[in-house]
Amino acid sequence: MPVTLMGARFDYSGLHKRRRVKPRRHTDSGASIIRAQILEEVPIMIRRCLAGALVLLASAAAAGEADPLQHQLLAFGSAEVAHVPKSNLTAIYSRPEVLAADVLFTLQRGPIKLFAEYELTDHESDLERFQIGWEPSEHMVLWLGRFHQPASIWNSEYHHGQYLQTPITRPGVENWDDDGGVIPQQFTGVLAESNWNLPRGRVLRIAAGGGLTPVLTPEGLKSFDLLRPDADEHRFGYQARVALMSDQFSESGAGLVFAQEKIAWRDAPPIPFPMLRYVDFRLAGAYASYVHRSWKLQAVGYYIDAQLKGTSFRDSDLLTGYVTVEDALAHNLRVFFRREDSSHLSEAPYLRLFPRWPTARSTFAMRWDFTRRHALTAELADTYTATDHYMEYRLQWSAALL
Amino acid sequence: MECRPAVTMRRLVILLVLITRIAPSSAGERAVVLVVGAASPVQHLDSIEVRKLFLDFRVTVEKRLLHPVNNFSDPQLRDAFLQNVVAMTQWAYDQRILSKVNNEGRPLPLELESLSTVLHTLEADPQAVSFAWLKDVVGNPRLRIVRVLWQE
Repeated sequence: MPVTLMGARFDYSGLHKRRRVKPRRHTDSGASIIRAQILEEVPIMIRRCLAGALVLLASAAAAGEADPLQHQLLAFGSAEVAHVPKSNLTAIYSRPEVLAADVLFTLQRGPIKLFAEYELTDHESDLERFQIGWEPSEHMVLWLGRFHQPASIWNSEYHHGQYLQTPITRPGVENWDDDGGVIPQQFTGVLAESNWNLPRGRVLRIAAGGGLTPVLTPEGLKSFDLLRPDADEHRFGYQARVALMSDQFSESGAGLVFAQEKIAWRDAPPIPFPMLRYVDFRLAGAYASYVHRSWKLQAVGYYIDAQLKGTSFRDSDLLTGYVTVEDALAHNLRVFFRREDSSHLSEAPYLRLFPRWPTARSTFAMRWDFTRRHALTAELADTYTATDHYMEYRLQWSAALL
Repeated sequence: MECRPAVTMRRLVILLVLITRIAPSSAGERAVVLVVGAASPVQHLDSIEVRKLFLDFRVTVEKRLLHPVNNFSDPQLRDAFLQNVVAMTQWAYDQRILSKVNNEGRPLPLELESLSTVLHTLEADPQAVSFAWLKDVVGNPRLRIVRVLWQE
Protein backbone atom coordinates (compact mmCIF):
# COMPACT_ATOMS: atom_id res chain seq x y z
CA MET A 1 0.00 0.00 0.00
CA PRO A 2 1.43 3.42 -0.92
CA VAL A 3 2.36 5.54 2.09
CA THR A 4 2.71 9.32 2.17
CA LEU A 5 4.85 10.85 4.89
CA MET A 6 6.66 14.16 5.06
CA GLY A 7 5.78 14.78 1.47
CA ALA A 8 7.15 11.45 0.28
CA ARG A 9 5.03 8.76 -1.32
CA PHE A 10 6.40 5.26 -0.99
CA ASP A 11 5.11 1.86 -1.96
CA TYR A 12 6.60 -0.95 0.12
CA SER A 13 4.22 -3.67 -0.87
CA GLY A 14 6.88 -5.85 -2.37
CA LEU A 15 9.73 -5.31 0.02
CA HIS A 16 8.87 -8.09 2.42
CA LYS A 17 8.10 -10.58 -0.30
CA ARG A 18 11.45 -10.69 -2.01
CA ARG A 19 12.46 -14.06 -3.29
CA ARG A 20 16.01 -15.33 -3.19
CA VAL A 21 15.67 -17.48 -6.25
CA LYS A 22 18.52 -16.60 -8.54
CA PRO A 23 21.98 -16.44 -7.07
CA ARG A 24 23.52 -15.18 -10.30
CA ARG A 25 22.07 -13.00 -12.97
CA HIS A 26 23.46 -12.63 -16.45
CA THR A 27 22.02 -10.57 -19.22
CA ASP A 28 22.46 -11.78 -22.73
CA SER A 29 25.01 -9.16 -23.67
CA GLY A 30 28.58 -10.18 -24.32
CA ALA A 31 29.87 -7.39 -22.14
CA SER A 32 28.01 -8.74 -19.13
CA ILE A 33 29.42 -12.20 -19.64
CA ILE A 34 32.95 -10.85 -19.92
CA ARG A 35 32.41 -8.71 -16.80
CA ALA A 36 31.12 -11.74 -14.92
CA GLN A 37 34.18 -13.73 -15.96
CA ILE A 38 36.47 -10.95 -14.83
CA LEU A 39 34.68 -10.64 -11.50
CA GLU A 40 35.10 -14.36 -10.91
CA GLU A 41 38.83 -13.78 -11.03
CA VAL A 42 38.71 -10.81 -8.65
CA PRO A 43 39.01 -12.74 -5.33
CA ILE A 44 42.06 -14.54 -6.68
CA MET A 45 43.55 -11.27 -7.94
CA ILE A 46 42.91 -9.59 -4.58
CA ARG A 47 44.50 -12.45 -2.68
CA ARG A 48 47.54 -12.37 -4.98
CA CYS A 49 47.86 -8.59 -4.62
CA LEU A 50 47.64 -8.78 -0.84
CA ALA A 51 50.08 -11.68 -0.71
CA GLY A 52 52.50 -9.78 -2.96
CA ALA A 53 52.13 -6.68 -0.83
CA LEU A 54 52.81 -8.71 2.31
CA VAL A 55 56.00 -10.10 0.73
CA LEU A 56 57.06 -6.57 -0.21
CA LEU A 57 56.23 -5.44 3.30
CA ALA A 58 58.37 -8.14 4.82
CA SER A 59 61.32 -7.51 2.49
CA ALA A 60 61.14 -3.74 2.92
CA ALA A 61 60.90 -4.15 6.66
CA ALA A 62 63.91 -6.45 6.65
CA ALA A 63 65.88 -3.97 4.54
CA GLY A 64 65.02 -1.03 6.77
CA GLU A 65 67.14 -2.13 9.67
CA ALA A 66 67.69 1.47 10.74
CA ASP A 67 64.05 1.72 11.74
CA PRO A 68 62.89 -0.56 14.52
CA LEU A 69 59.60 -2.39 14.17
CA GLN A 70 56.76 -0.53 15.84
CA HIS A 71 53.43 -2.04 16.68
CA GLN A 72 50.22 -1.07 18.39
CA LEU A 73 47.25 -3.00 19.67
CA LEU A 74 44.24 -0.94 20.68
CA ALA A 75 40.66 -1.89 21.46
CA PHE A 76 37.57 0.26 21.65
CA GLY A 77 35.05 -1.47 23.90
CA SER A 78 31.43 -0.52 24.35
CA ALA A 79 28.21 -1.78 25.92
CA GLU A 80 24.88 -0.22 25.00
CA VAL A 81 21.25 -0.59 26.00
CA ALA A 82 18.45 0.92 23.90
CA HIS A 83 14.77 1.46 24.52
CA VAL A 84 12.43 2.43 21.70
CA PRO A 85 8.79 2.64 22.82
CA LYS A 86 6.07 2.05 20.22
CA SER A 87 8.46 0.56 17.73
CA ASN A 88 9.84 -2.81 16.86
CA LEU A 89 13.58 -2.58 17.51
CA THR A 90 14.48 -5.13 14.88
CA ALA A 91 12.59 -3.07 12.32
CA ILE A 92 14.87 -0.06 12.79
CA TYR A 93 18.27 -1.71 12.53
CA SER A 94 18.68 -1.52 16.28
CA ARG A 95 19.05 -3.96 19.14
CA PRO A 96 18.11 -3.66 22.80
CA GLU A 97 21.64 -4.54 23.92
CA VAL A 98 24.93 -4.38 22.08
CA LEU A 99 28.31 -5.49 23.36
CA ALA A 100 31.16 -4.61 21.04
CA ALA A 101 34.94 -4.70 20.85
CA ASP A 102 36.69 -2.99 17.97
CA VAL A 103 40.28 -4.18 17.83
CA LEU A 104 42.91 -2.21 15.92
CA PHE A 105 46.33 -3.58 15.12
CA THR A 106 49.09 -1.70 13.39
CA LEU A 107 52.62 -2.71 12.45
CA GLN A 108 55.14 -0.26 11.03
CA ARG A 109 58.75 -0.35 9.99
CA GLY A 110 60.07 2.69 8.18
CA PRO A 111 57.71 3.63 5.35
CA ILE A 112 55.84 0.32 5.30
CA LYS A 113 52.89 -0.42 7.51
CA LEU A 114 50.08 -2.88 8.05
CA PHE A 115 46.79 -1.81 9.59
CA ALA A 116 43.88 -4.06 10.52
CA GLU A 117 40.58 -3.55 12.30
CA TYR A 118 38.37 -6.38 13.47
CA GLU A 119 35.01 -5.70 15.04
CA LEU A 120 33.42 -8.28 17.29
CA THR A 121 29.93 -7.79 18.71
CA ASP A 122 27.35 -10.00 20.36
CA HIS A 123 25.61 -10.39 16.99
CA GLU A 124 28.32 -10.21 14.31
CA SER A 125 32.03 -10.12 13.61
CA ASP A 126 33.81 -8.64 10.64
CA LEU A 127 37.24 -7.70 9.35
CA GLU A 128 36.35 -4.05 8.86
CA ARG A 129 39.67 -2.79 7.53
CA PHE A 130 42.79 -4.52 6.31
CA GLN A 131 45.28 -2.17 4.70
CA ILE A 132 48.86 -2.48 3.60
CA GLY A 133 50.44 0.95 3.34
CA TRP A 134 53.49 2.65 1.94
CA GLU A 135 54.50 6.14 3.08
CA PRO A 136 56.89 7.51 0.43
CA SER A 137 57.02 10.78 2.36
CA GLU A 138 55.48 12.38 5.41
CA HIS A 139 52.93 13.95 3.04
CA MET A 140 51.53 10.82 1.45
CA VAL A 141 50.44 7.27 2.13
CA LEU A 142 49.21 4.69 -0.38
CA TRP A 143 47.00 1.86 0.84
CA LEU A 144 45.98 -1.45 -0.66
CA GLY A 145 43.20 -3.49 0.90
CA ARG A 146 39.79 -2.97 2.45
CA PHE A 147 39.09 0.55 3.67
CA HIS A 148 36.33 2.95 4.65
CA GLN A 149 35.52 5.22 1.73
CA PRO A 150 36.88 8.77 2.14
CA ALA A 151 33.69 10.55 0.98
CA SER A 152 32.00 9.89 4.33
CA ILE A 153 32.71 12.75 6.73
CA TRP A 154 31.63 11.06 9.97
CA ASN A 155 33.11 7.65 9.25
CA SER A 156 36.43 9.09 8.09
CA GLU A 157 36.73 10.78 11.47
CA TYR A 158 35.45 8.11 13.86
CA HIS A 159 35.27 4.80 11.93
CA HIS A 160 34.08 2.22 14.50
CA GLY A 161 35.64 3.99 17.50
CA GLN A 162 32.59 4.43 19.72
CA TYR A 163 34.74 6.01 22.45
CA LEU A 164 35.97 8.72 20.08
CA GLN A 165 32.53 10.07 19.16
CA THR A 166 30.53 12.08 21.67
CA PRO A 167 27.05 10.70 20.82
CA ILE A 168 26.18 7.01 20.74
CA THR A 169 24.66 6.91 17.26
CA ARG A 170 25.98 8.14 13.96
CA PRO A 171 23.94 10.19 11.47
CA GLY A 172 21.57 7.99 9.46
CA VAL A 173 23.18 8.98 6.18
CA GLU A 174 26.52 7.72 7.53
CA ASN A 175 25.15 4.31 8.65
CA TRP A 176 27.31 1.33 7.78
CA ASP A 177 26.42 -0.86 4.83
CA ASP A 178 25.11 -3.67 7.02
CA ASP A 179 23.28 -1.25 9.31
CA GLY A 180 20.73 0.14 6.89
CA GLY A 181 23.06 2.64 5.24
CA VAL A 182 22.12 4.18 1.89
CA ILE A 183 25.67 5.17 0.90
CA PRO A 184 28.22 2.40 0.20
CA GLN A 185 30.87 2.75 2.90
CA GLN A 186 33.38 -0.08 2.57
CA PHE A 187 35.54 -0.79 -0.43
CA THR A 188 38.32 -3.14 -1.39
CA GLY A 189 40.93 -1.60 -3.65
CA VAL A 190 43.43 1.24 -3.42
CA LEU A 191 43.37 4.44 -1.41
CA ALA A 192 45.75 7.41 -1.55
CA GLU A 193 45.89 10.02 1.20
CA SER A 194 48.04 13.12 1.18
CA ASN A 195 48.40 16.44 2.94
CA TRP A 196 50.21 19.56 1.77
CA ASN A 197 51.32 22.61 3.72
CA LEU A 198 50.11 25.86 2.20
CA PRO A 199 51.03 29.47 2.88
CA ARG A 200 49.84 30.99 6.17
CA GLY A 201 49.94 27.61 7.87
CA ARG A 202 46.96 26.13 6.07
CA VAL A 203 46.90 22.47 5.09
CA LEU A 204 45.32 20.84 2.05
CA ARG A 205 44.24 17.24 2.59
CA ILE A 206 43.35 15.03 -0.35
CA ALA A 207 42.11 11.44 -0.33
CA ALA A 208 41.06 9.37 -3.32
CA GLY A 209 40.12 5.73 -3.53
CA GLY A 210 38.73 3.15 -5.90
CA GLY A 211 37.67 -0.45 -5.60
CA LEU A 212 34.92 -3.01 -5.41
CA THR A 213 31.59 -1.54 -4.29
CA PRO A 214 29.13 -3.31 -2.03
CA VAL A 215 26.19 -5.16 -3.60
CA LEU A 216 22.52 -4.77 -2.81
CA THR A 217 20.79 -7.68 -1.11
CA PRO A 218 17.37 -8.00 0.51
CA GLU A 219 19.09 -7.14 3.80
CA GLY A 220 20.64 -3.96 2.42
CA LEU A 221 24.14 -3.17 1.17
CA LYS A 222 26.75 -5.89 1.57
CA SER A 223 30.43 -5.06 1.11
CA PHE A 224 33.15 -7.35 -0.20
CA ASP A 225 34.37 -9.66 2.56
CA LEU A 226 38.10 -10.39 2.56
CA LEU A 227 37.72 -13.42 4.82
CA ARG A 228 34.95 -14.94 2.69
CA PRO A 229 35.69 -13.46 -0.74
CA ASP A 230 32.87 -13.60 -3.24
CA ALA A 231 33.09 -11.03 -6.01
CA ASP A 232 29.74 -11.99 -7.50
CA GLU A 233 28.07 -8.82 -8.82
CA HIS A 234 30.52 -6.47 -7.06
CA ARG A 235 31.30 -3.60 -9.40
CA PHE A 236 33.71 -0.70 -9.17
CA GLY A 237 33.44 2.69 -7.60
CA TYR A 238 35.54 5.78 -6.93
CA GLN A 239 35.54 8.37 -4.18
CA ALA A 240 37.48 11.52 -3.35
CA ARG A 241 37.71 14.13 -0.63
CA VAL A 242 39.47 17.51 -0.66
CA ALA A 243 39.69 19.51 2.55
CA LEU A 244 41.31 22.78 3.51
CA MET A 245 42.26 22.95 7.20
CA SER A 246 43.02 26.19 9.02
CA ASP A 247 46.31 24.71 10.30
CA GLN A 248 47.93 21.34 10.71
CA PHE A 249 46.80 20.93 14.34
CA SER A 250 43.31 22.32 13.98
CA GLU A 251 40.08 20.42 13.41
CA SER A 252 38.56 23.54 11.79
CA GLY A 253 38.24 23.36 8.06
CA ALA A 254 35.99 22.78 5.09
CA GLY A 255 35.90 20.33 2.24
CA LEU A 256 34.22 18.70 -0.70
CA VAL A 257 33.51 15.03 -1.34
CA PHE A 258 32.56 13.07 -4.42
CA ALA A 259 31.73 9.44 -5.16
CA GLN A 260 30.58 7.46 -8.16
CA GLU A 261 29.63 3.82 -7.93
CA LYS A 262 27.73 1.11 -9.71
CA ILE A 263 25.73 -1.04 -7.30
CA ALA A 264 24.38 -4.34 -8.57
CA TRP A 265 21.98 -6.88 -7.10
CA ARG A 266 23.30 -10.15 -5.84
CA ASP A 267 19.90 -11.84 -5.69
CA ALA A 268 16.72 -11.37 -7.71
CA PRO A 269 15.79 -7.71 -8.15
CA PRO A 270 13.20 -6.40 -5.70
CA ILE A 271 9.56 -6.66 -6.77
CA PRO A 272 9.12 -2.88 -7.12
CA PHE A 273 11.99 -2.87 -9.63
CA PRO A 274 11.84 -6.22 -11.48
CA MET A 275 13.77 -4.90 -14.47
CA LEU A 276 16.50 -3.27 -12.41
CA ARG A 277 20.00 -4.04 -13.71
CA TYR A 278 22.05 -1.92 -11.35
CA VAL A 279 22.07 1.41 -9.54
CA ASP A 280 24.26 4.15 -10.97
CA PHE A 281 25.06 6.03 -7.76
CA ARG A 282 26.62 9.49 -7.55
CA LEU A 283 27.29 11.57 -4.49
CA ALA A 284 28.56 15.09 -4.06
CA GLY A 285 28.89 16.79 -0.72
CA ALA A 286 30.32 19.66 1.23
CA TYR A 287 31.16 20.08 4.87
CA ALA A 288 32.62 22.55 7.33
CA SER A 289 33.89 22.19 10.90
CA TYR A 290 34.72 24.89 13.37
CA VAL A 291 36.40 24.25 16.71
CA HIS A 292 36.89 26.99 19.25
CA ARG A 293 38.05 26.06 22.74
CA SER A 294 35.60 23.39 23.91
CA TRP A 295 33.01 24.21 21.23
CA LYS A 296 32.75 22.14 18.11
CA LEU A 297 30.34 22.84 15.26
CA GLN A 298 29.93 20.83 12.10
CA ALA A 299 27.67 21.01 9.05
CA VAL A 300 27.53 18.30 6.40
CA GLY A 301 25.41 18.16 3.24
CA TYR A 302 25.16 15.46 0.57
CA TYR A 303 23.47 15.45 -2.80
CA ILE A 304 22.66 11.91 -3.93
CA ASP A 305 21.74 10.97 -7.48
CA ALA A 306 20.83 7.30 -7.92
CA GLN A 307 19.67 6.08 -11.32
CA LEU A 308 17.86 2.76 -11.34
CA LYS A 309 19.18 1.39 -14.60
CA GLY A 310 16.82 -0.83 -16.54
CA THR A 311 13.68 0.64 -14.99
CA SER A 312 11.41 3.46 -16.08
CA PHE A 313 11.66 5.17 -12.70
CA ARG A 314 13.00 8.67 -12.63
CA ASP A 315 16.45 9.41 -11.20
CA SER A 316 16.54 9.66 -7.43
CA ASP A 317 17.65 13.16 -6.54
CA LEU A 318 17.99 13.63 -2.82
CA LEU A 319 19.46 16.20 -0.49
CA THR A 320 20.38 15.12 3.00
CA GLY A 321 22.64 16.35 5.76
CA TYR A 322 23.13 17.21 9.38
CA VAL A 323 24.46 19.87 11.70
CA THR A 324 26.07 19.18 15.06
CA VAL A 325 27.10 21.31 17.98
CA GLU A 326 28.89 20.20 21.14
CA ASP A 327 30.47 21.83 24.15
CA ALA A 328 32.08 20.90 27.45
CA LEU A 329 30.11 21.87 30.55
CA ALA A 330 33.05 20.72 32.66
CA HIS A 331 36.38 19.12 31.77
CA ASN A 332 34.79 15.66 31.87
CA LEU A 333 31.21 16.45 30.89
CA ARG A 334 30.15 17.15 27.29
CA VAL A 335 26.78 17.89 25.70
CA PHE A 336 25.95 17.23 22.07
CA PHE A 337 23.08 18.07 19.73
CA ARG A 338 22.57 16.94 16.15
CA ARG A 339 19.81 17.66 13.65
CA GLU A 340 19.49 15.50 10.54
CA ASP A 341 17.11 16.24 7.70
CA SER A 342 16.42 15.35 4.08
CA SER A 343 14.51 16.82 1.19
CA HIS A 344 13.15 15.73 -2.19
CA LEU A 345 12.24 12.35 -0.71
CA SER A 346 9.34 11.98 -3.13
CA GLU A 347 11.84 12.21 -5.97
CA ALA A 348 13.97 9.34 -4.69
CA PRO A 349 12.66 5.88 -5.63
CA TYR A 350 16.10 4.57 -4.56
CA LEU A 351 15.00 5.06 -0.95
CA ARG A 352 12.29 2.43 -1.39
CA LEU A 353 15.12 -0.04 -0.97
CA PHE A 354 15.85 1.35 2.51
CA PRO A 355 12.45 1.87 4.16
CA ARG A 356 13.89 2.04 7.69
CA TRP A 357 16.42 4.72 6.90
CA PRO A 358 15.91 7.77 9.17
CA THR A 359 14.86 10.69 7.01
CA ALA A 360 14.93 13.19 9.87
CA ARG A 361 16.17 13.03 13.45
CA SER A 362 17.04 15.23 16.39
CA THR A 363 19.59 13.77 18.79
CA PHE A 364 20.68 15.02 22.19
CA ALA A 365 23.50 13.34 24.10
CA MET A 366 25.40 13.90 27.30
CA ARG A 367 28.76 12.23 27.93
CA TRP A 368 30.60 11.84 31.22
CA ASP A 369 34.25 10.76 31.14
CA PHE A 370 34.31 9.28 34.63
CA THR A 371 37.91 8.15 34.46
CA ARG A 372 40.68 8.27 31.90
CA ARG A 373 39.58 6.66 28.60
CA HIS A 374 36.22 5.49 29.99
CA ALA A 375 32.94 7.29 29.36
CA LEU A 376 29.23 6.96 30.05
CA THR A 377 26.86 8.48 27.51
CA ALA A 378 23.09 8.99 27.59
CA GLU A 379 21.28 9.80 24.35
CA LEU A 380 17.75 10.77 23.38
CA ALA A 381 16.59 10.89 19.75
CA ASP A 382 13.36 11.84 18.00
CA THR A 383 13.38 9.92 14.72
CA TYR A 384 11.31 9.91 11.53
CA THR A 385 11.52 7.26 8.85
CA ALA A 386 9.40 7.10 5.70
CA THR A 387 6.76 5.11 7.58
CA ASP A 388 7.37 5.63 11.26
CA HIS A 389 8.07 8.13 14.02
CA TYR A 390 9.53 7.10 17.34
CA MET A 391 11.70 8.15 20.27
CA GLU A 392 14.94 6.36 21.09
CA TYR A 393 16.64 6.24 24.51
CA ARG A 394 20.14 4.90 24.82
CA LEU A 395 22.79 4.44 27.48
CA GLN A 396 26.35 3.41 26.69
CA TRP A 397 29.68 2.70 28.32
CA SER A 398 32.62 3.14 25.98
CA ALA A 399 36.36 2.95 26.49
CA ALA A 400 39.75 2.82 24.84
CA LEU A 401 41.57 -0.24 26.18
CA LEU A 402 45.04 -1.82 25.96
CA MET B 1 91.58 10.36 19.90
CA GLU B 2 89.57 12.59 17.59
CA CYS B 3 89.27 16.14 18.75
CA ARG B 4 85.85 17.76 18.14
CA PRO B 5 86.16 21.29 19.47
CA ALA B 6 83.02 22.50 17.70
CA VAL B 7 80.84 19.85 19.30
CA THR B 8 82.46 20.37 22.69
CA MET B 9 81.98 24.11 22.41
CA ARG B 10 78.34 23.60 21.44
CA ARG B 11 77.73 21.40 24.46
CA LEU B 12 79.46 23.92 26.64
CA VAL B 13 77.27 26.72 25.32
CA ILE B 14 74.09 24.68 25.92
CA LEU B 15 75.28 23.88 29.42
CA LEU B 16 76.09 27.53 30.09
CA VAL B 17 72.72 28.63 28.77
CA LEU B 18 70.97 26.10 30.95
CA ILE B 19 73.02 27.08 33.98
CA THR B 20 72.49 30.80 33.47
CA ARG B 21 68.78 30.28 32.92
CA ILE B 22 68.32 27.95 35.83
CA ALA B 23 70.96 28.91 38.36
CA PRO B 24 69.39 32.22 39.39
CA SER B 25 66.12 30.47 39.96
CA SER B 26 65.04 29.64 43.40
CA ALA B 27 64.61 26.03 44.40
CA GLY B 28 60.89 26.28 43.63
CA GLU B 29 61.44 27.05 39.93
CA ARG B 30 61.54 24.14 37.52
CA ALA B 31 62.17 23.58 33.84
CA VAL B 32 60.88 20.95 31.41
CA VAL B 33 63.52 19.98 28.85
CA LEU B 34 63.45 17.98 25.63
CA VAL B 35 65.83 15.08 26.02
CA VAL B 36 67.29 12.39 23.73
CA GLY B 37 69.90 9.67 23.98
CA ALA B 38 73.56 10.61 23.48
CA ALA B 39 73.58 8.79 20.11
CA SER B 40 70.45 10.53 18.81
CA PRO B 41 70.58 12.29 15.42
CA VAL B 42 68.39 15.05 16.85
CA GLN B 43 70.30 18.31 17.21
CA HIS B 44 67.42 20.73 17.18
CA LEU B 45 63.63 20.59 17.10
CA ASP B 46 61.55 23.75 16.97
CA SER B 47 58.36 24.06 18.98
CA ILE B 48 56.13 23.16 16.00
CA GLU B 49 58.09 19.97 15.37
CA VAL B 50 57.96 19.06 19.07
CA ARG B 51 54.20 19.53 19.07
CA LYS B 52 53.85 17.50 15.87
CA LEU B 53 55.99 14.71 17.28
CA PHE B 54 53.98 14.30 20.48
CA LEU B 55 50.69 14.66 18.62
CA ASP B 56 51.80 11.56 16.74
CA PHE B 57 52.60 13.14 13.40
CA ARG B 58 55.40 11.57 11.40
CA VAL B 59 58.60 13.53 12.15
CA THR B 60 61.93 12.51 10.65
CA VAL B 61 65.51 13.64 11.19
CA GLU B 62 68.15 12.50 8.70
CA LYS B 63 65.46 10.23 7.16
CA ARG B 64 65.00 8.48 10.49
CA LEU B 65 61.57 8.39 12.06
CA LEU B 66 61.49 9.81 15.58
CA HIS B 67 59.70 7.96 18.38
CA PRO B 68 57.90 10.09 20.95
CA VAL B 69 58.09 8.85 24.55
CA ASN B 70 55.63 10.38 26.99
CA ASN B 71 57.29 10.72 30.39
CA PHE B 72 54.26 10.50 32.66
CA SER B 73 56.31 9.55 35.75
CA ASP B 74 55.15 12.70 37.53
CA PRO B 75 51.59 14.06 37.17
CA GLN B 76 52.89 17.63 37.52
CA LEU B 77 55.36 17.07 34.70
CA ARG B 78 52.60 15.55 32.55
CA ASP B 79 50.27 18.49 33.19
CA ALA B 80 52.99 21.08 32.58
CA PHE B 81 53.93 19.41 29.31
CA LEU B 82 50.38 19.00 28.02
CA GLN B 83 49.30 22.52 28.98
CA ASN B 84 52.37 24.44 27.90
CA VAL B 85 53.89 22.45 25.08
CA VAL B 86 51.08 20.48 23.45
CA ALA B 87 48.48 23.09 24.52
CA MET B 88 45.73 20.55 25.24
CA THR B 89 43.92 18.96 28.14
CA GLN B 90 44.70 15.33 28.73
CA TRP B 91 41.23 14.37 27.43
CA ALA B 92 41.75 16.28 24.18
CA TYR B 93 45.26 14.88 23.84
CA ASP B 94 44.02 11.33 24.32
CA GLN B 95 41.27 11.85 21.76
CA ARG B 96 43.77 13.22 19.27
CA ILE B 97 46.35 10.45 19.53
CA LEU B 98 43.73 7.69 19.65
CA SER B 99 42.25 9.17 16.46
CA LYS B 100 45.69 8.92 14.88
CA VAL B 101 45.69 5.17 15.46
CA ASN B 102 42.10 4.87 14.27
CA ASN B 103 42.48 7.04 11.16
CA GLU B 104 46.07 6.53 10.05
CA GLY B 105 47.29 3.37 11.72
CA ARG B 106 49.96 5.32 13.60
CA PRO B 107 51.34 3.61 16.73
CA LEU B 108 50.57 5.57 19.91
CA PRO B 109 53.43 7.48 21.54
CA LEU B 110 55.07 5.24 24.11
CA GLU B 111 53.72 6.17 27.54
CA LEU B 112 55.90 5.38 30.57
CA GLU B 113 55.23 6.01 34.23
CA SER B 114 58.69 5.25 35.58
CA LEU B 115 61.51 7.75 35.20
CA SER B 116 64.18 5.06 35.13
CA THR B 117 62.32 3.30 32.29
CA VAL B 118 62.13 6.57 30.35
CA LEU B 119 65.86 7.16 30.76
CA HIS B 120 66.67 3.59 29.83
CA THR B 121 64.47 3.83 26.71
CA LEU B 122 66.24 7.02 25.60
CA GLU B 123 69.63 5.41 26.10
CA ALA B 124 68.63 2.29 24.16
CA ASP B 125 66.75 3.90 21.25
CA PRO B 126 68.58 6.72 19.43
CA GLN B 127 65.33 7.70 17.68
CA ALA B 128 63.42 8.15 20.93
CA VAL B 129 62.60 11.66 22.12
CA SER B 130 61.15 12.52 25.52
CA PHE B 131 60.82 15.31 28.05
CA ALA B 132 61.78 15.51 31.70
CA TRP B 133 62.43 17.85 34.57
CA LEU B 134 65.86 19.36 34.09
CA LYS B 135 67.00 18.16 37.51
CA ASP B 136 66.31 14.54 36.52
CA VAL B 137 68.56 14.53 33.47
CA VAL B 138 71.19 17.22 33.85
CA GLY B 139 74.69 15.78 34.09
CA ASN B 140 73.70 12.36 32.69
CA PRO B 141 76.42 11.54 30.12
CA ARG B 142 74.22 9.00 28.32
CA LEU B 143 71.57 11.64 27.55
CA ARG B 144 71.54 14.95 25.73
CA ILE B 145 69.35 17.94 26.46
CA VAL B 146 68.10 19.44 23.19
CA ARG B 147 66.25 22.46 24.50
CA VAL B 148 64.23 23.97 27.31
CA LEU B 149 60.54 23.49 26.56
CA TRP B 150 59.02 25.32 29.49
CA GLN B 151 60.25 27.04 32.60
CA GLU B 152 58.28 27.90 35.69
